[in-house]
Amino acid sequence: MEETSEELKSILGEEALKNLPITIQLMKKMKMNEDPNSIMAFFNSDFHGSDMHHDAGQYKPISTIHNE
Amino acid sequence: MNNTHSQYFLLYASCIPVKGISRSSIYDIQRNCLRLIPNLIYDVIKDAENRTAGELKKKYNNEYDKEIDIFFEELIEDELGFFTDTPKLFPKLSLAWESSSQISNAIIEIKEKSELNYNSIFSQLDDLGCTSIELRFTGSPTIDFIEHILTACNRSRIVSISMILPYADQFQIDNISYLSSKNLRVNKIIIHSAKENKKISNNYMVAKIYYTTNQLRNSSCGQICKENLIINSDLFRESQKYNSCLNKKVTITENGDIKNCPSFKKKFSNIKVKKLKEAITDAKFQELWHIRKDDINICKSCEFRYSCMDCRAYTQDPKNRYSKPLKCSYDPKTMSW
Repeated sequence: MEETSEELKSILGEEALKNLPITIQLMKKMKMNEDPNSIMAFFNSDFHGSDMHHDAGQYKPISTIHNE
Repeated sequence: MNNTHSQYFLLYASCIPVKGISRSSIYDIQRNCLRLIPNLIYDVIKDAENRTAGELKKKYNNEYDKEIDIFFEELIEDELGFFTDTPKLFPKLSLAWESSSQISNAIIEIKEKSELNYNSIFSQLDDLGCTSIELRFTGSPTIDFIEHILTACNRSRIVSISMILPYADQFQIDNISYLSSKNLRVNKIIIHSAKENKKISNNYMVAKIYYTTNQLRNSSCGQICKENLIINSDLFRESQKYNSCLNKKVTITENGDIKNCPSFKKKFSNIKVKKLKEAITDAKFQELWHIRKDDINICKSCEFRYSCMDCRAYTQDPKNRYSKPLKCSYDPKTMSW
């Protein structure tokens, strides 16, 4: 988060930064108050894990010697 | 959303938020998938746990009411959360993980003309409750020998067998499919140093068969990549307290050395002189079982930390037991692989 804080410092000024809770800092950084729909962009990153290990009661591989 | 003003927003118990340094994720351990979210949303979700939607908005001076509504609408639409008047009726899922097995998985290096008594090894593993084994064949094993080894597992509680074999002309697809169809506990066969890369998998076979031109050695292990992430309840819960790779694992090398993993130099006696049960109950043997992802440098700030297999054999700094796995290319700070 260090870079984020630095960026914010330049956007908001050091004093303002100290007084803002982190979520509000981020909201301001993301300018969500100007474009609330921009949040939608963050919800499109679904991630399905490998299904190879669900077979035969195995929940994880024994090794990672071979990538499928 | 106005009627939710006095309600609480909760994620479903099986949807668990995990914070990373630059972004977070919601592990859906019932549907085995993971949703990446900005840390901002993680913070709002956590803030919402003990506040009604109205109180939450007030916390932000009602400046972000619309944004908060959008968060919740989206999470509800994706079946990750819901509003309720009675949050106490929806406790968090217990993340305790227990296993009745002393050893749950084993890697056994096998060569055809060995002095080792494989029947005894399988019997000892059975007594320890082992259910998954990986057989790494060396040399030039014959089909008959492989069948002999698989037969030795027949009356055990082993439910899944992976096999790694060096390519030989006899390992044509017909022979391998036959072997697989006769041994339904075999769920994966990897033939390395093959002439071409191919994958054989169909509805008639339990096992997936891979031919790879790569030469697989012990040092090939430890790969962590996006494609190998695993999202499920067992791994998620096990990773909270134990090492995701080494917990309840034992290796028996081709000369009988007992190790945590084939890639380690450190051995804990030899199967010819010590019973497995005795070797694995040594506190030193179990030491690495307790290194969690939450203890490991960089990994502890990674949003994928409960979905990957750790590696303690190949690390960025071999002198530091909490060093990041060497073969993980993901940087949680930049969120790039």
